[in-house]
Amino acid sequence: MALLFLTEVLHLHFPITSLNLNKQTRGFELKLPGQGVVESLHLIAKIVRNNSITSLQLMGNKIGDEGAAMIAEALRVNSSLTALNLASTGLGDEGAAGIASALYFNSSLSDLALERNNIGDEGAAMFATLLHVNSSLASLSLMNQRTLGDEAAILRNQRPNLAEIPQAKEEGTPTRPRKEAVGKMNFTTDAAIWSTEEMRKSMMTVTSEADVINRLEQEAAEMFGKEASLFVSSSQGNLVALLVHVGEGEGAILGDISRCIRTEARAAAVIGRITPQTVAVQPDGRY
Amino acid sequence: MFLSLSLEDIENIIRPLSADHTPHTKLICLENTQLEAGGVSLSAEYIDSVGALAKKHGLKLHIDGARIFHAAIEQKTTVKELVKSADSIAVCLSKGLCAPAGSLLLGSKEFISEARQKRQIVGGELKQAGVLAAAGRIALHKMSQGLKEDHQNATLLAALLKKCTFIDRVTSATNVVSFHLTPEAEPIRDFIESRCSRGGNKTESLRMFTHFSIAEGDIRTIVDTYNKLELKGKRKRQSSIE
Repeated sequence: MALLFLTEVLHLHFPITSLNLNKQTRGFELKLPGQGVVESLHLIAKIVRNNSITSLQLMGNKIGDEGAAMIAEALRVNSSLTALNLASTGLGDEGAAGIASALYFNSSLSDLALERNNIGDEGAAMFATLLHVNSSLASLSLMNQRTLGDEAAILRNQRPNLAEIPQAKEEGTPTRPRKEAVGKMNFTTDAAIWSTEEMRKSMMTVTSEADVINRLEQEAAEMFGKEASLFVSSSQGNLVALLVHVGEGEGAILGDISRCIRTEARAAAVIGRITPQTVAVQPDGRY
Repeated sequence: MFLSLSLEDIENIIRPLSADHTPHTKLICLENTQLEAGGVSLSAEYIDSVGALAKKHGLKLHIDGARIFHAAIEQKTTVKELVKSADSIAVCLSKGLCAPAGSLLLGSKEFISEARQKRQIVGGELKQAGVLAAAGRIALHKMSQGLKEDHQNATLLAALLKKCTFIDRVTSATNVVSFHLTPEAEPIRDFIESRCSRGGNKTESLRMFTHFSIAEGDIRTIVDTYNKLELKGKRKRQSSIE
């Protein structure tokens, strides 16, 4: 607290550029003599508003949502701060949302650390939205949130390149949702399992059939590094490929226990008049 | 267990164009992951070596990549890397990825345009398939991520099954767990078999899959149930003897 008191005196006379109040030692309290944590934050907020500070470290001080709101308020008018560390400060969704909305006005902050708080989906979603308009933030850490869900996982995965979050989100961010439908316990197959809620929703909102198929085919071709792609029904994939590659009476080498043989090549033999030439599959799956 | 790859076998079976009396070989098919071998995955190096062999003999290489995303995760690589020497790939959007229906066939432009014709021949054209493709896109982009969780669950399931006295020869690869029942399991054989699918035609093994609808808790529950039922059966037998 002596440090902070000193700070109060100093900042009147010298511009403060970096303030490290990380709670590293036991017994250190972010408090002015005779005041609570939140009151002490008024001073810090004031320093932030002064526009000289570039780095503010408050890790470990339990400033909570109320404290975060004050910092956020000051952030709106600040244009000097580049690094802000609010890790382990007891931030919840509300506090996170406050900081996120400050990013709408702030264009200097590039490094924001919010690890080990209680930020949930709501707070993380706020960041995802605000990052559409903020371009200065380059690093955002939301690791180890007690209440973190899917929404935050999106941000977490994209951490190295935050500017791309909104775009990725639009395109359907590649993050598998959490396990659902626990208790159905069908271990007999991994194919005839239930489609996800999201799939059923997207199926209901299809407006142009051809567009969706084209997009799927294009995206798949890109993903697999091939020129083109074709959407087929499940067992037709192999059959059609065999029909294209192998003419009537010609041979195709297949593993003796491959699906092509056991469930599908009969079709290739019947329809395509293809001669299956089988090789024994080793226990490691190779021929 | 892990035998050397026998590219030789493949080479020996290739019938050259010069052979007048035998059908000429045109294609080599690989399956990745190989379900009947217990869901094992093939490495990019192996596939490339088969690809090189195919090229050498003027053959095409097709990959049945129904569960190729699982293979990519286990091989710690990308699907692109796994199929780079293949002329065509079939990818299932249902298996492990939750799409209600649909597969993708990938290859060169010429291959796909021919495939489009062949699809028509086998009655595969679908009107208004956009609804399926919409789910397929989610399967491709979203559900293909995070399959590692299924692999971890399969490992857990295998570990729990190994502890059961009435189960032996437990193996797991990607999202598949294969095992055999011992004679001790006889009283609950029907129950266990109803929870599994049959393994390959070479063996009497049983198979359990992990997938999106199976969470860690489900695995503990099912193995717990096996154990409880087995114990119950044991007690019953004991009391009937007494």
